[in-house]
Parts: sequence; C-alpha cells; structure tokens
Amino acid sequence: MVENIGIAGMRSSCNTSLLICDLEVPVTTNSGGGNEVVSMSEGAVIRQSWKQFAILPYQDGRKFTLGTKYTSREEQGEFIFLHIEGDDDEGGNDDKNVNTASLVEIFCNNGQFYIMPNSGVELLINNDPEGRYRLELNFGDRLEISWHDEVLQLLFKERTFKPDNHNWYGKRGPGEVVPMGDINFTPEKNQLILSKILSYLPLQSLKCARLVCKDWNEEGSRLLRNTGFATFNNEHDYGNYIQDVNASMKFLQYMEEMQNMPMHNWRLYIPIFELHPVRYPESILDSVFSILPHKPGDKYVADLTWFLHLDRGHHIKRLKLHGRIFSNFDYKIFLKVVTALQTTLQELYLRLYFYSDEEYQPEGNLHFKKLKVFSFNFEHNRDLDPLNHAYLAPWAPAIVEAESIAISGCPVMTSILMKSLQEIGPLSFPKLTEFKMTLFSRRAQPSLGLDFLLGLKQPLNSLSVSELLRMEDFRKFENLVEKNAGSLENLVVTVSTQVDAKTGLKLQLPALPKLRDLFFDVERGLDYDKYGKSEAKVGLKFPGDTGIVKYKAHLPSIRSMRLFPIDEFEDSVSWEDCGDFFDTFLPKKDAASLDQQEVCKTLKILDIPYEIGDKTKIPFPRGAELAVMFPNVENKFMAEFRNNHPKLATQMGVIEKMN
Amino acid sequence: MPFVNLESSDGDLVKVDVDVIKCSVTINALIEHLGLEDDNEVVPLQNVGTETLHKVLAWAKHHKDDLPSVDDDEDDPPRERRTDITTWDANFIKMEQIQLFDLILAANYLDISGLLDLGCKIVADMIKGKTADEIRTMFNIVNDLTPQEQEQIRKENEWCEEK
Repeated sequence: MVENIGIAGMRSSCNTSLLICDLEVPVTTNSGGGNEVVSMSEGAVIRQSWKQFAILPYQDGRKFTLGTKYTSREEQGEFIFLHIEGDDDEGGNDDKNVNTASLVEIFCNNGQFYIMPNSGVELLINNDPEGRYRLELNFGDRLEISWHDEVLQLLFKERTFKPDNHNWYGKRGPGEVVPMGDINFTPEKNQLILSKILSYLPLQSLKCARLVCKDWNEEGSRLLRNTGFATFNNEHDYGNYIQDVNASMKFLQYMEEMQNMPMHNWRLYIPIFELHPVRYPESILDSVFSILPHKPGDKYVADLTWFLHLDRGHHIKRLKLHGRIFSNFDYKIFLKVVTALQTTLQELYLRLYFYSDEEYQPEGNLHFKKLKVFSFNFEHNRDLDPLNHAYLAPWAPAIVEAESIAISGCPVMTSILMKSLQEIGPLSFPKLTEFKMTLFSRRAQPSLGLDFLLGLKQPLNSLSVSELLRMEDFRKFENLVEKNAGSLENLVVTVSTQVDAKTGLKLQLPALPKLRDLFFDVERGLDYDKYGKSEAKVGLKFPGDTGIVKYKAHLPSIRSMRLFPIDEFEDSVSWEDCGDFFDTFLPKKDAASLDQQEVCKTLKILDIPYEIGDKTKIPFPRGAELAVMFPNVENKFMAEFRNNHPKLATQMGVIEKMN
Repeated sequence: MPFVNLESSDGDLVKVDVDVIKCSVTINALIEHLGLEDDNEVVPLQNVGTETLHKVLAWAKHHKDDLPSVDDDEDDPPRERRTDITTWDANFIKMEQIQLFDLILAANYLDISGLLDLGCKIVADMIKGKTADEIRTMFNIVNDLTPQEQEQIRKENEWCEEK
C-alpha cells in the first residue's frame, strides 16, 4: 500500500543555529490518491485533507528518528511517529530483519540536516534513483520511504510564518499613515508611556509592535509573555478534530524557541491515554494514545515528564488545563501537571470532563502556596453514576491560599467540592474575598456555598451566585450580602423562578457603599419543556418604605448595572411583565414631576432590555427620563433618548444644578 | 477654596482651583513642598506650555468629581481592562497629533494617570492594525532589529495566543 505523506521544509532565511522544518504525517490509512487521508470515525469514512506536520527544531548534534514505534529518547533521540503499528507487533523487528520502529534518522550538523535510512528501508529523494545515497537533506526535498510493502512520502520544507498582521479582525488605525515629521514624540524613549500605549493594544497588534525596533520589542515581549498564553494542543482542527500523534513535539519546540521569552501563561490540553473499554471502543483513538510501550501515549508521558522537570525552570503563573478523563491514568497525568507547576501558580483554571465511573484514587501532595485565583469546572457524563468522588478530596485543602474561587459544572461534583470546603472550614481560607458559583441545575445546591461564605471571617469584595432556587438560598443570600454590605464591590445574582420563587419574590438588599457593579438576572425559562415557564415577578428592594433605591444613599459608588428581570427576546413579553422591578432602579411610572427623580452621575454602564420583543422592539417607556437620570451612561439607546427629548434633558440639567 | 498659580514653560501664570488640579500627583507634591499659605505662591511647570496647560486644566475640571479610578493591571489582557472612552473625552482628545503628544508628555510629567491613560489609548488606537513598517513610518523609528532577531520574534509570536 502506498501512503502519500508530505514533509515540508526549507532552509531558514538566516543562518541561525535553529533550522526548522515542517513534517506532514498521516495518522491513518491513505485513500490512495492525492493529499488526503481517510479516517474512520464511528463507522463512517470521512475524507480529510491532511496537513499534519512536525516542526524539527535544529540544534547541532540533535537526532530525530522517524518510525512506527517509540522505544526511548536515549536510543531514538527526538521521535516522530510516521505510522502506528498494531498492538500485536510490539518488538519493532520482524522476520524480514527490518527495524520498523526506526525507519529513518535525521541528524543536525553544522547548519545542515542529514538523513539516513535504517537497514532494510529504501529511501528515495526527489524520485531520483541516483540520489539514493545522498545524505544531505535540503528544503523542498520530497522523500519516499519504503519498507516491506509500505511506502511513505514526505515533504521536507522550511518553516514559514504567518503574515505579521494576519487574522486582524479589529479596525485599523484611523486614516493613512502620517509621518510625524519634526514632532518630537518618541514613545520608546519613555518607558512608562510606551508601556502604557502597548498595554492597550490587542494581542495581534502587540505582536506587530514587537517588530518595530529593539525598544518596542523589549517592552512588547514583556507584556506579551504576561498576557498571552502558550497553547499546547493535542488535536488538529481539519474540520473535524483529530488527535495529533506527535503533539508532544511541541514541548521540545517550546524549549527551543521560547528560552529567551518564557511565557507565564499556559493553556494545556491533555490527551486521552487509556480509553474506557466499553463506552469508547473506537479503535482509532485507542490505537493513537493508549499507554503501551512504543505507543504515542507512552512517548507523550515521557516528553511531558521531561518538559515539566524542575530543571526546565518554568515559572508559570496562569494555567488553563483542559482534558477528558477516561481512566485513573488520565487523572494521574492531569495531577502530574498541576503538581509539577504548583509552586508558582497564581491562577489555575480547570476544565475537565469525566467520562468514566472508575473510582479514581485520591492523590495527595497538592498545595498551591501562591494561588490567588482558582476556577473549577468539572463536568460528568450524566449516564454514569460514580460511586466514589474521593479524588476530589485533595482539592479543598490545596487551595486555601486562594483569594478568588469560581465553581461551576455538574451539580454532584460542585456539591462535593463545596462540602469539602465547608469541612476544612471557612477560617482556613483567610484570603478569600471573591467567590463565584455558576450552577444551572435544579439538582444544584447553592446553599452549600452560601453556608461556607457565611462562615468567612474576612469581608467579601465580590460575590457572584447563579442561580438561587430555594427559599433557604434566598435567605442565606440576603444574610450574606447584609454581612458584607460594607465591602462588596461586585455583586452578581441570578434567581430562578422554577422552584421556590414560582409565585414571585423580592430580595432585600442593604445599602452597599462600595458597590461598583450590580448584575441581576432572573432565569424564568430553564427546562421549559419539563417544568413550564414561570411568569413570577422577581425583584430587589432597598431600605426604606418604598424599597426604591436611592443612589446617593444606597449605591453611591455604582459604576455599572445589568438588570434583566424578564426574557426580553420574546414578542409576547410586555413592559408590564416586569412588574414594578424597574421602578426600583429607573425612572418611576408614577413620578409626579421630574424634580422627584434622582440623578446618578456615577453610573457609566447600564445594561437593561432597552427594547423588548424580537420583532416588536418596544422601547423602554420612559427613555428620556432614563437618559437624564444617568447622564454619564452612553450608548446608542441613550443617545437616541437624548436626541428625541433635548428639552427634557435641559430641564433635568437645571434640576441637577439645583440639587 | 484655595487656589494655586501655575507657571507654564512660556512664562504665563494660570490661577487654578486646587480642587481641580488635585488629580496631578506632581502638583500635589509641589504644593505640599511649597506650602499654600500664600495665594501668590507660584508653582513652576518647566515642561508644560501654556496651550497644553489649559488643555490639561480643562480635562481636570471636567473630571474633578470622578471617583478614584480602579488600578488596571497592565498584565491583564486589553479586553479585560477599562478601554472605554466617554463621548466627552473623545471630543476633548480630538486635536492635532502634535498637541496630543504634548498632552501625553504633560500628563506624564504632571502624573495625571487618567489623562495619560486617555492619551495612550488614543495612540494605541492609531497603532492598531498597522504593520511594523507603518508604525516606524508614523513615529520616525529606525529599525535596529537584525533579520535573525525578527525571525526569532516571529517564532515567539506564534506561541502567544489570546487568553
């Protein structure tokens, strides 16, 4: 069978010690023509263009082995899978005395790549029979590697880079480029100014800015390594995602290329190593990553271990870790990563999906001493009913230093984590001042988290709770806000009308002198089909007879509000459906005169359903008054209100002056 | 209400409400150093011309009631930082480039973080989407990077992705 494979590579445009090539490798069997690979997925044949490649970082004396079986780094150097052998052939040798484990070797020496086929392997370069003894490998070479009845075609080429300003979605700077002429403004001569300017650039522009000159590069790289994320994927996106058998080559490449600019932030997607034998029997995945000697999974783990070794000197502050857990082994690898980086991590974002009902073994030795932000999102396959969640046990004691905790995901797992936080005790979390709980399920238990927070000694600055369901949640939430009234700067709450708020509800809020951001949503329609839609009216009330907010007294520092008491996207909804909710915050229906209306100058952002109905788009009925009440809120709706009622605005201006 | 006399680099005196100019860390420090017993006390500003000083004061007057700004962390991605510019500020900052840069330098010298941020946001907006060549042309910058260094930057850039 012939497999058309391309290796693409070219000589580096400058004579650096780092020559790189792209190697295109098919993972699965070829369809027999053109640059296409056929892969099997759930029984269907899917044709995919293949562009897989491996980057070979040049270093004098380095050896790359291209083959079918990974044996060891000592023996093979950097190993690249060209083809995956079946499980029944583990030795790498056969009766024809061909070592298929290592088909060809590529060496780096004096700025040149060399290639050498192993015994029993035919190598043809550029289809030239005379060149079969040539060892030098040049960019643009097409290689044909034959052994037994297998043929692989590779293209060796120089690595190319995307255009500097590629993928630019934002607007370009205004107008043409105008030279400054004699204007004496050289931002690079003032580190503070240059730093500030560059800090407002989006990532792609910042990359371009680095190429301006050395000063800009120095400042730009400092910002980029702190704000950008180095991503380690384990899949390629060719329309469908397919596993990249050579994903772990990225670790070597990173070490080569980023030694002068080690990133502080990583995003790591961990591959699946062992597949659940019953639920996920697809052979393609199994053949790619299962942990058996000589398999890609085995090599990945070896490379990962090498990469995470203390000697590498990583100083990772932010880690986003993604993965799918099918087995204990997968979970162990996941723990291996966080354990290796735990001493420097300041922010840890976990997003894991558990597919297995295995009883994972708990792991110890987790403790993030510098952790400030912890975000936990564990999902679980609903069909499975795990008996043992002991593997979550190490997490609560490991994150006691956190200042900010965010919990979301499946109700069972989040409940277990919150219970374990409570077991350790709120007093064990002396720095925690921000808490976010995003739970959208009738099975969720937000009161567990609220109990924990009520036990904290220190005041909270930020509280986000989505969503409250039951009466005990509402009361605990009110108590919690009351307790932290003097410190809260950010308050986000979503109330569900699906359980205990079916007949309506008003949550009591105290005066919140430091509150800057208030986001309030009502979730009326979750699980429509199952439980029906609730028409209940939910609102907020502040101290005083009317319950209406007095901004100067209750929210003197408010900067932004998001208020959504209804589902504004349906045509059937009217402003009456909001009840008197907006009277609490916005100009009142029955205001006798404008001078009764308070002006709130601190508010800059007001996010409300300015108009409701998909098609009808009925505007907020007292738009002019609204625009005057919040003179510093600027958006297209407010601009329209002001334009339509200039006299009213002037009148309010007089009232404001009088106030 | 106490006042202070500011002397521009052109030698002009401008009498200012201390409450207006409190946003300037530099002037606050000078006032503290010089004392404010005499309303005729003059604070010399050697790096700020008269025209620019008036612009600074116009901005300071408009923003004198602002609540203290939240400290942005430069290490946070721009999207997470407060990059919004109000209509008043947008109208205020519409000026010739030479005036804009004088204003930025003045804001930097006077240590007025809000005004410096505004100016830098505008310059950043001018840079957005432009190539390195175009940026060099804008600011008369000579490219002192070697081809090898540029290639290395491109390699490093490919590693940096959005949050």
